[in-house]
Amino acid sequence: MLGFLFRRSLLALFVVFAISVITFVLSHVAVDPATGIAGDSATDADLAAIRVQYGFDQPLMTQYAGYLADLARGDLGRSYLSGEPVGQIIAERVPATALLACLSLLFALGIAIPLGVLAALHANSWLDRMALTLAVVGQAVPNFWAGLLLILLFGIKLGWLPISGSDSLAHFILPAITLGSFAMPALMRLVRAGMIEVLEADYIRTARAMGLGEGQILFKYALRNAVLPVISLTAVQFGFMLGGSIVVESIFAVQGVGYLAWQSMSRSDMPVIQAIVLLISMIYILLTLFADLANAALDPRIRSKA
Amino acid sequence: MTLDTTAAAGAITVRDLHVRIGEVHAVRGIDFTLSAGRTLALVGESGSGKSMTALALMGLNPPGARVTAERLALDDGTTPQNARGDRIAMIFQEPMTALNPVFTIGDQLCAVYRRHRGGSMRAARERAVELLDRVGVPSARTRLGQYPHMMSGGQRQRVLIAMALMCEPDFLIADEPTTALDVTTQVKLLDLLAGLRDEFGLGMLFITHDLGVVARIADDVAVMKHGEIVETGPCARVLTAPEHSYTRSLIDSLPQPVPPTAHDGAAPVLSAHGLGRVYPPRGMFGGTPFRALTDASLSLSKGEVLGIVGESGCGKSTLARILIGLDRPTEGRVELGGEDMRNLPQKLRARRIQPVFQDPFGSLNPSWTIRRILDLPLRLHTQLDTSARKARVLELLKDVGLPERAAEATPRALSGGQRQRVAIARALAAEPQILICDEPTSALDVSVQAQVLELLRGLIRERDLSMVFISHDLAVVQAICDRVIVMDLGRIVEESATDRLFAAPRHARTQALKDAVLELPDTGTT
Repeated sequence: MLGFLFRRSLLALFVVFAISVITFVLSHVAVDPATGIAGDSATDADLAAIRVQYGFDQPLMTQYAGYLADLARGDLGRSYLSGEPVGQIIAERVPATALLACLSLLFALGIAIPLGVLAALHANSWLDRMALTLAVVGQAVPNFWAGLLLILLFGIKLGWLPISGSDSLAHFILPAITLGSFAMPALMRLVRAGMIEVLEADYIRTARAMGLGEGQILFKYALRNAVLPVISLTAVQFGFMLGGSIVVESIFAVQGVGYLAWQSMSRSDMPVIQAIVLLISMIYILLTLFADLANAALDPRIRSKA
Repeated sequence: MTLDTTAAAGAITVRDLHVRIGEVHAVRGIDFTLSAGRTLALVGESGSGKSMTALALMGLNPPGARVTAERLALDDGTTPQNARGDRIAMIFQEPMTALNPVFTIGDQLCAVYRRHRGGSMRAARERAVELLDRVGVPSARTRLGQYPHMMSGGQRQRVLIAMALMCEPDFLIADEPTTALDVTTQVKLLDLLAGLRDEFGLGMLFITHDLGVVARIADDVAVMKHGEIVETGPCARVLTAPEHSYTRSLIDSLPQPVPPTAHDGAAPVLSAHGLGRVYPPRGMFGGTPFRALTDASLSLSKGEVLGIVGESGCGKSTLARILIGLDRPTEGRVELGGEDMRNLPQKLRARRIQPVFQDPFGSLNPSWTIRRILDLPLRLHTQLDTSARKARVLELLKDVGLPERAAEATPRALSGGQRQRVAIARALAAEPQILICDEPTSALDVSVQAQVLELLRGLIRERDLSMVFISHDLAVVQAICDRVIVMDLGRIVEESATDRLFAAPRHARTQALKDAVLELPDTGTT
């Protein structure tokens, strides 16, 4: 177990390193950071001065080595725009994004699991077809469109919920539904497929032959087996949500990491963008590790392969 | 046809039972009575309706099944589905998949007890320990905390038997409970079930395709064919003096020993020298390497059939995979016609040595026609043009006793026996010198098994083929092999001519395998 954690940590370190290289190179080659800082009206002399001031005139390798050395000390650099430490800027935004992602996941799982179980129990019925239609629509409608429709209906027409900002829990309801409804269909279909397979398993027939109650069979014996693959997908979907939050937070003006990313991208604030990409990739790695550990906790066969 | 066993008080009466699934009339108006303290064996080949009968009796019908009966009830009028797990329990064929993999043995046993009897978890656990002890699971109390995958197939089946007995049922339905187990485990479990029947006065419905099993455990027999009971009666009478031609044909299909042919002195076409196979650890948390094969040496002469027998996990399939070239040994070498197999190009090796696997349902591509399946090895290993290959496919079908029209069918349209014939034809297409057959008849009904064995015998004679025949069934081995190797724990423990090996086994494992052969009464047939 410890060996596993050690190997996974090494792998995580390697992935973070690779991502830092890619984001650094892309952000320095694709655009001239000096232009981003100085703005469109800057003269050549202004640009030259900025390049010297920020070290952009140095070879790329030297710049990257400096960046990496700072990173190793926990220093993510300073925003080109505000001059504030990037770590501090991101830390202020993390709670809103974390809350949004958790609420979205809760929404997605809260719908996906019961609906998937129901669809499996009534496979090929009208209920199943309705769930499938919902899944297809959910995956086909882009986040920004779903978000706008929700704003129009619940925010403007009915006036039930706030449509912009992140001051109260109510502000998170529409963004969470928008973000969650994108992750929900894949989870629902996996629960459905898993339940259909498990309900045909020999051990479910054994449970029925032993006269166990249908509720016990469904929610204890079958669901525990059916959710095993769902855990891995949930981790992946949670990662997607962090990426998707860039669009959703922008639509609803939620002051989170996603909104910050959009603001930084539109102003070429490279240190912030790099830090956000690194943060999201690290969370992704941690999520897959948690998913593996959760699977091991639920499935003794994985545990005993030691 | 009606079978009334004893007129004991406790009984399940079945009158005019029909099961229909869509257009298929799977069970066609059968009658029987299952009485306390007796075993009724329901015998038949696949598709005869015997498992459908058992499921109908439990109310566990597959989706879309329509069950009707004039009477299907216990003596007090209770329907079986209302007595499930309490007065009637059932055990199934596949102990490896019949227990929930993510719950402990204790959880699963206790859930049944508490569902029907209530009471505390402590009382349920005591009952579970008592029964695990009774069915011969060692260290019963420790086992409660273990998961199914930590146990062997035999132990899991014992756990399932204990689970079935948790609430002291009056009736036990056993659907091929020993078919998936090793022969020595099978005998022990049959004796255990017979003991439990006598001790608890259980009425037992025992479903099987194996007449040897019937002889060992049943008081009465009902023979099923095409959804009907064609013959019933006391076990000894039905097996020794069958009245119906179908029962007679089942008994006649049992494999009979044939005298082996000696092949001494001939140069080996295939030989193995000191083979070993160690598998590296698997799984995401690491682990220890697994040694599947140790120092295995053998030789096979032209025209010879070499049997490899042993229980599951003894290394016989690992050895077969290495001999075919599907796996590489970590120690030792295989020689094909005197040449080291590692130095032979893969195509040449495949041309000389071809496999026939156990499962004819999984070993043929379901979306290809039989013509395409047989055409592939012809294209790979011969220079024939399209029309010549077409003709050769038809010849191959004829050689294995299939009609020409089978060429245009997909595997789905064929029966298990027909599919295994296609698998044999595919192996023959490359005109190999050697066939490696891994349990080629164990998924087949006894009458189909007899036909496939006859086909293989004929092919060996006509083509002077050599064959390695892997099986757990000693009766089949005696019917086809010249020489036999016995394996245990990854090693070859005994080797001898087939008749000598069975007449005077030297190793304890061979003796145990021989003792596990179930014989029919009087006829002396296995």
